[in-house]
Amino acid sequence: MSGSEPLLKVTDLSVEFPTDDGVVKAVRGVSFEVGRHEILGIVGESGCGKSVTAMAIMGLLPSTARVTGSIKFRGEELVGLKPREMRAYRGNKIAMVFQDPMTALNPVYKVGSQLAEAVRVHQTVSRKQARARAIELLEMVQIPQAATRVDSYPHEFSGGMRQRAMIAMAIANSPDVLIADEPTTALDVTVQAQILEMLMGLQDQLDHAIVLITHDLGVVAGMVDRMQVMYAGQVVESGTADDVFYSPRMPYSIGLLGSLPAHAGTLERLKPITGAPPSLINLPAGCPFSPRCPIADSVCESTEAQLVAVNEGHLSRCHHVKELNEMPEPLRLFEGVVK
Amino acid sequence: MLFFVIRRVLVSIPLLLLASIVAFILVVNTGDPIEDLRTKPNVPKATIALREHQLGLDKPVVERYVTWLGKAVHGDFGKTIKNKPVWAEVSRSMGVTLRLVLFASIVSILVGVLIGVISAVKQYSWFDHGATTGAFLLYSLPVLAVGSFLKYVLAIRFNRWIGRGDNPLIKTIGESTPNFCTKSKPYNCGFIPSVTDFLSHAFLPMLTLVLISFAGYARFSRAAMLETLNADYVRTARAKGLSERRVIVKHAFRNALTTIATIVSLDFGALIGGAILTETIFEWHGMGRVLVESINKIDPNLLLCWFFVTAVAVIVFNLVADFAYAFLDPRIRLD
Amino acid sequence: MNVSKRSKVAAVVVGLALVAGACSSDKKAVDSTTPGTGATTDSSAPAVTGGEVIFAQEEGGVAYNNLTSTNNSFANTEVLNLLQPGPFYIDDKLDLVLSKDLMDSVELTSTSPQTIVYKINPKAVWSDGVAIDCKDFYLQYMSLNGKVTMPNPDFTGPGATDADGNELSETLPVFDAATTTGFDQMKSVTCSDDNKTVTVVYDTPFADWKGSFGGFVPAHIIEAQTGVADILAVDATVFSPEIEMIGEFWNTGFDGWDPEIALSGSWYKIDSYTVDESIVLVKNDKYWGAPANLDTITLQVITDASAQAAALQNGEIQAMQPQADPGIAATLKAATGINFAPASGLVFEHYDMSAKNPIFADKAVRSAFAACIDRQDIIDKLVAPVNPDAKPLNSVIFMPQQVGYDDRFSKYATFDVAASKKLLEGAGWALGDDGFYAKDGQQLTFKISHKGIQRRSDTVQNSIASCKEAGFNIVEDSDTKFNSDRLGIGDYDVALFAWVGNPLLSSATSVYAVDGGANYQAYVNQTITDTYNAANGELDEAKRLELMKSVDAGILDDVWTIPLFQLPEMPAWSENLTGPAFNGPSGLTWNANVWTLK
Repeated sequence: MSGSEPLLKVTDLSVEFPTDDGVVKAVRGVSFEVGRHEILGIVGESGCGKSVTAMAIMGLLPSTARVTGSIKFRGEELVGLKPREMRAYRGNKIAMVFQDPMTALNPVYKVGSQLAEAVRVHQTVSRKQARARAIELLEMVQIPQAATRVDSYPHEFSGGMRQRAMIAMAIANSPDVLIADEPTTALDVTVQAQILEMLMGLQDQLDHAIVLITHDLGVVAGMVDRMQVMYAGQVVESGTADDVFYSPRMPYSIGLLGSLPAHAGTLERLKPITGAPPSLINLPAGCPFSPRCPIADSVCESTEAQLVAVNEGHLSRCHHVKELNEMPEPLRLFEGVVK
Repeated sequence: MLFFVIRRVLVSIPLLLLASIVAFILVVNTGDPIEDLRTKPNVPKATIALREHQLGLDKPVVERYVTWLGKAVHGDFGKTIKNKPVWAEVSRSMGVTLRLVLFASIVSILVGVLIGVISAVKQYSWFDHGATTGAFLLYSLPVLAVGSFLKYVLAIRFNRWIGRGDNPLIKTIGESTPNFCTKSKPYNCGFIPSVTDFLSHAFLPMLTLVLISFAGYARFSRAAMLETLNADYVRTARAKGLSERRVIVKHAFRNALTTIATIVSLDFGALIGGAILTETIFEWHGMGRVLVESINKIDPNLLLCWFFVTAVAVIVFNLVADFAYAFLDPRIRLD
Repeated sequence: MNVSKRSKVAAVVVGLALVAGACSSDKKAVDSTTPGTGATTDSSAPAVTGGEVIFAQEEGGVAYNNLTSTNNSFANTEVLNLLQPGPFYIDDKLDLVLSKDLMDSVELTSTSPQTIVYKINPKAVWSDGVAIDCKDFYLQYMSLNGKVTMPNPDFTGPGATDADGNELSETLPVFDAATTTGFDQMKSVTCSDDNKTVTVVYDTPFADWKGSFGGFVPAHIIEAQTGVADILAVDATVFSPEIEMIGEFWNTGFDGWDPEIALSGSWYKIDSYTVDESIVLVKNDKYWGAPANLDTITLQVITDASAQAAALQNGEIQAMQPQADPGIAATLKAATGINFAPASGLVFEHYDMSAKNPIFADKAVRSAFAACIDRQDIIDKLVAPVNPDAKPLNSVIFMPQQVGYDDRFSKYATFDVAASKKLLEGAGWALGDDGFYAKDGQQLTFKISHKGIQRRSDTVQNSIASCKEAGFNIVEDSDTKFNSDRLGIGDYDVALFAWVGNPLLSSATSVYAVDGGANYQAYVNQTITDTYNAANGELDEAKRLELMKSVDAGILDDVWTIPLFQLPEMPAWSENLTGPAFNGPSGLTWNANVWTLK
């Protein structure tokens, strides 16, 4: 987060999928930017549009998707690029780590050759050099005996090792932006911490920006510089990690924090948000969170809220920002709802 | 690996034995091989006794089976009711069947897989809809109808159209013209005339086989490809910035290949049994014909040998399928 | 002769089956050419000579020796018509005609004992140049006289039985003879005149002697193959090591069509043979008589009748005689460039009533049954789609176009419900409330059994329906093992099966004579048996014919058997080809020497 131009700047990004039942508005007007050596967390329930946002940046959305807005990488517009042009960025300038390492690696190729493939697609190197680079990458992600493991098949790796291999693949071409979509969700807790630590360590070495996508606030806590919370395709709150964690100004963020064990520890029990996210085909007229919101009123049900500044760099999309500001213990907001 | 093969072979033996017993029982009960002789009014009784003795019909069923088995394990499959060595007949027919189905299968696999892959890649496109509907139609048409139609249009009408009604270019019968290469016409026996003659005969049956069987491979490949195209590792491959062709061929297709290769191997095993209908329609004297004739003529030794060879082929190609699977998918280990 | 498959009996030699017949009824079909074996050169000889013809067979000929029970088949006959010599051949009118190329003369020189003198044309030679002579006659006598036996290795002692509980015979024949008829009555066969004259003396008179001999295999080949120096020195009726060797080779040595062994004594010889596929025949350059016209005749195996039809339309084959099928008949009728010539074949379907069932003891019941069967209706439904001119068969000894045939049965089997009922009522049967006749508390009910093929089922169902009107309660009994397990032991009320014809009038003896080997229905009429035996020994042809007519009439008058119809045959050939004529026993190739191509 330097004063210079951000590496990745997303402005007013919207993604729609026409289906037989109607148009799914998966992402609506999302904007954010991320700079060198910065970590941006995107948090939300599944279906909130965070993965679609990531896929839009990678240009991996199906051809039926309608993408509007702007995605700029170092000032170069990515929206509207031809597939061939997009390939120059993908895996090279912008790389991605996926959620499930058990299925994200091709089972029929050796880990090393999958790594080498990633190298050779963007760099003109010999097979031998690519293989050496693969070993080097495996060492970077702390795979023991990388020189032998390079010839292993994915099924011979544990889940954690596979995710390391995936990360190695993502950093193969020293990308400027690394998008990690739920990188630890499929892993057990002890391994999760190692992976996150390694991601941060690698960032120190390589100096890239990270977009960390997760539904788990615990993952972003203490790791990200800035974060944004998404709900029903929109950013509902964004700010520094401290802003969102310690003074959330959107009931949804508060609800998410309430379902976090570390936070809930101070309370009696976890306070989940009741209900389910709205259908993205037929969005309610007002604030999409209003059906589940404890403080929703008639305004919320009729009018969509705008993203407004709470503080410098802290934005919230709530009609009741002021009330929340004045509330002594906003985190207890959901207690009344728990039956 | 060796252990796997040995174990599979050992498991196959009781299976083969059991199957041969079932086959024997079925064969013995299909009828009386010399019924014809018995119901002719003037055949001497002594002749019938001689034939019963020669064919072992005067022996108890168990003894006949044991005798058959004892010889079969030594590679002696006995003689047909017409006194011909069974093995010679079956091995010759196998050659005919292979000539017919091998090439046709390769073509239908190539065509089928290609169409299946394209359909999957372009799912719900006009190509996909067209190919899927067309394949389904051909798949459900009876072979007899396809064969007869092709004979009428591509042989009878076409030959007359090009003015060769008396000396047809496209043939409908057999794998060669019987009076083409003979002792009195040695000039027709060279490589080029023989191949030309073979092709003029092979064209229709092979086309028929391809038309009726490519659809199966197309549908199967399409399904397999759709599955792999939606797999996470294909997304990973795209995320690497690989070209779409490489993503499809090296990642999606390579994985679909494991299942396709398995089904192809299994199909090959069954093919040794002969393409019964196609062989009948186009009069190729292959394994399918051996089966039909051995049943019609109630020829126990011939039927048993057909059965045995087919069973062995199925077992062997099951093994091949396992090997193919293991070879193509490193997760599978043969032990 | 159950006849789901076509098993017909070879050539001239000895009647295996009964009554022959072919009624060439279609206008297109009858283009009757003179020829046949030894045809004298036709003055209206075709302008075009040479050319190649392919004739389709449903089943391939498998062996040059068609006289073994293993190999005997119609398919062999179709090939052997063109290869093997014989003193007589059967023409398309079922007459036995002297083969003038082979024989200088054949004469009955004495009737007591019956003596026949065959004088062989001195020019007659096999295709390897060796003379066709008395040795070949002697070999045939040796192989078919049925007297040469060897011990049965399975025979453990008197009363030994096989798996099915049938008594094992102590001996087995050395020769796998398809028939011994005629030859078993011969006393001696002697050679003279440098082996060009054969004298055959019979023990007992045998009127069908013209049917004996034919379909020769070359004796000198057997001598060469077995090492027996002179076959004439081997006693033809006694077991010896030499005869065992001869038997062994005779049984199997001629399997396949090895041109070195399967010699020709006729117009064509074998060029090449592909197992199960084809036999290519070319002109026999050693043939001493009038040469054949076509250069090459190929017999190609095409099992599937519709495949044959397509091949004929496609010009791949020029002639065929596939199994009759209404669909294919329709195709052929509609096709251009094809001569379609449906005909009534030798195979005829019939009902046999079993004497073991007392219900048939009264002739009135049998006659009433015959009167309620609508033979014309069955024919209209099952036969006419192929052969529209088919008619009910009214003889069991003669075929319609044969000398001696007459309608001897219509008076019993013209469909007439009222007559049927009247017969029953006259015999004391009374119509019950259930619509069926009964007598002494016994309902008029029985089963008709058959092998379980569609045509027979259709036939039986037709009779069940028509006889129900006449008060019969008939039940169908369809059993795939009927022919093999039950027919032979007479385990039925009424059987529906077929016999296959042969021009030799004696051949039905075993079917109708008291205790005859094929008299499954246990039909007993001693007078007829005696007359039949007398006819078989009557060497005066005119007298014999009269006896045979009375046998035929007598059998039919007893109404134990009801002839129904002849199965249709459907020969067809290219319009470019002239000459083919339907011939039931020998097949279309019988006169292929005169076929010509346009």
